[in-house]
Amino acid sequence: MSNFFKPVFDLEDYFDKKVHIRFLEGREVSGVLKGYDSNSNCVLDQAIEYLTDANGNLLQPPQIMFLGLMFCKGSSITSIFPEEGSTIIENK
Amino acid sequence: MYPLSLIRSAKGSPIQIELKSGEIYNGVLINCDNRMNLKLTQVVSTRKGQNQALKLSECCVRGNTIQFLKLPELVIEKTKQQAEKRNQYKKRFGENSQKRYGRGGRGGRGGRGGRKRGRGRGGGRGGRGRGRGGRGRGRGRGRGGGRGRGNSKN
Repeated sequence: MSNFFKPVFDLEDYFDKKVHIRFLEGREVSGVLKGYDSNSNCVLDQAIEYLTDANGNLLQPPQIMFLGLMFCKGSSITSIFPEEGSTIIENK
Repeated sequence: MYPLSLIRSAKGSPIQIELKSGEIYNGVLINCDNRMNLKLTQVVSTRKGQNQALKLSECCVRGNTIQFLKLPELVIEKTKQQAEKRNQYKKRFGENSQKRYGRGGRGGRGGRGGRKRGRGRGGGRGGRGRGRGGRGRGRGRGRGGGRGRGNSKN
């Protein structure tokens, strides 16, 4: 029952940090988390979108589009993770 | 056994999430909530059709995007144990509440019922009595033994 008051999606830890947000259709955006709420709607500053090809795979080398200040609707968010501590492993 | 209770007892154990989009997250579950949003640590995330995997220290996955979870088999025993504990608590609290309500309730019901029954019986008796009395009055008038009127006349 304590989870009821403090949602797991407590983005307090990620506040003012650079985070990656993944969306339902495979879009990926990264930016500094400036605001959030219980529905996990997010406000990102200095947001960058990583562009994908027609199949939804991220383009290699990554091509970016600069978005600036953006609002992300929580209902279409898949996952959120902080950029620090994330490393790419090649050839799974 | 509810799915959310199964997930709650999986806190701290390795878990694999597959999302509706085909992404796979392998990690240790830290926390979960009622909407099935999960927080993982030591995560490796893979995407469909990509040779790269992403290693993350922490990750939040939104519950509505989850397709299925792979949990370790130990989790089933954990949930059964917790379910048994809850049943025991329910039994204890249930017994106490029944005793309290039973004493008070029975007494209250008995009192109320008694009054009602008393009134009912009294009314019934009164009705029956009146009926008998009526018959009696009739006889009484003739004989002169009725309640008040009969006597006064006589």
